[in-house]
Amino acid sequence: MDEKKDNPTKVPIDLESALDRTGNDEEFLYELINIYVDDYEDKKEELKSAIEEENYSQIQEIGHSLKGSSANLSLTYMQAASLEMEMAGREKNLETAKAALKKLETEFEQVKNYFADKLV
Amino acid sequence: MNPEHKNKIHLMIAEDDRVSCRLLEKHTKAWGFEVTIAQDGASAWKVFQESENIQIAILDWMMPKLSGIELCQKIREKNQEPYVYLIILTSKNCPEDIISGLSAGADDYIIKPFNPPELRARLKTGERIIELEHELRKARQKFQELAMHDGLTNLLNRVAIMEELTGEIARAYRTDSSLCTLMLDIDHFKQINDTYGHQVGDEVLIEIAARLKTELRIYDRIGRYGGEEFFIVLSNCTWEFGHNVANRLLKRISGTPVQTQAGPIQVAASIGFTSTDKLKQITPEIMLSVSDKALYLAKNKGRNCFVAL
Repeated sequence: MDEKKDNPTKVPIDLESALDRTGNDEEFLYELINIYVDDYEDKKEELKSAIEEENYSQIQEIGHSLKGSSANLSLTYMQAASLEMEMAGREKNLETAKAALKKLETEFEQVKNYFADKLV
Repeated sequence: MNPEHKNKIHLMIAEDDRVSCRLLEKHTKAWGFEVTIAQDGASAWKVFQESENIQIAILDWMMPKLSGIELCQKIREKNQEPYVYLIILTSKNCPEDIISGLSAGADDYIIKPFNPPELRARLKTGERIIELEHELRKARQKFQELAMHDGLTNLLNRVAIMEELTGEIARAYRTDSSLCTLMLDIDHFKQINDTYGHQVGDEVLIEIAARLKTELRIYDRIGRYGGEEFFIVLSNCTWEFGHNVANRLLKRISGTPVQTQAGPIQVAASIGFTSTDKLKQITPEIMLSVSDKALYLAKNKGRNCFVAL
């Protein structure tokens, strides 16, 4: 990994934990990050529609799924924001969902920047 | 067990999240499993139905179309063999998911994000259970076979041959074909036992059973009906053809002596047979009884012959 971009004290990933889960295979980690980034774009659109339609079970499901993949990659802040989205769906709270979406967008930018040279 | 030296166990992953799915796939393949992936509950169920050898499944508890829990229930309801070991992926801080998962039929659970060595250990437990079930099924099959066969001659036993007869009669009706039954009894068998002892008697029975078997067609059925009695069911066999078979069997038995530990023994048999061609009423009991009656007549005629009724 190169030197950290942007804010050196807030790293979007717990690298040690992530590498641990990929069996210390860096290349494989980057493969997963690419899948994650790709997948997020789809999920973002789905979340926007779900919020528009006030489809809370969808919001919960997507939040849950995103939480899972974030956790697998030890993307700490994405995981936290996804959990908020999942809870918003569970509690049928539209405002919380909208706020969670904003947070996801912000944290996602951090992830993209951090892995910029590894993205396909 | 070393995965390279046995067949790969087929494992299914049902997980809608692409990252988790890929992670699971990579690890399980590295551990030697044959892996199939489904990305939602409905396709997981489809895969499971179409494949007969999935032995382990890792199911995410929340998936589109069909949840992990519902999938567990469906799989357990289907209750097909062999047993499928189910591991459910649950979230942290959700004991109610664990409880519902296990109650729905999951064997184990693992909390997301999973720790690979822990998953590996849990999968090993699953392999142990699968191996146990495999042994159990093998033993059950062995016992079923034992229950249907005569221990000495390896022919069907009385219960089994009568069951075969019932089935063959039904088939004969369905296909509008003829059926013959033969009751064959070794002549003077009691004398053989008394003269040479039961061990030699057993040798004779084994040899005769083997000779009869080689004379019959692959779809004929033969059973050991009594001590020295054999009951034979010939499907697709007319009255006339039955005569041929009876003749052939008699020749085969008396043609060459049976080699035993007491030396060569000349053996002969009597046969009574009947055919559906000649019977007005056809039931297993009737065919048995008429064959038996014919056998009695053959004995009275001087043995080493057959009578057809």
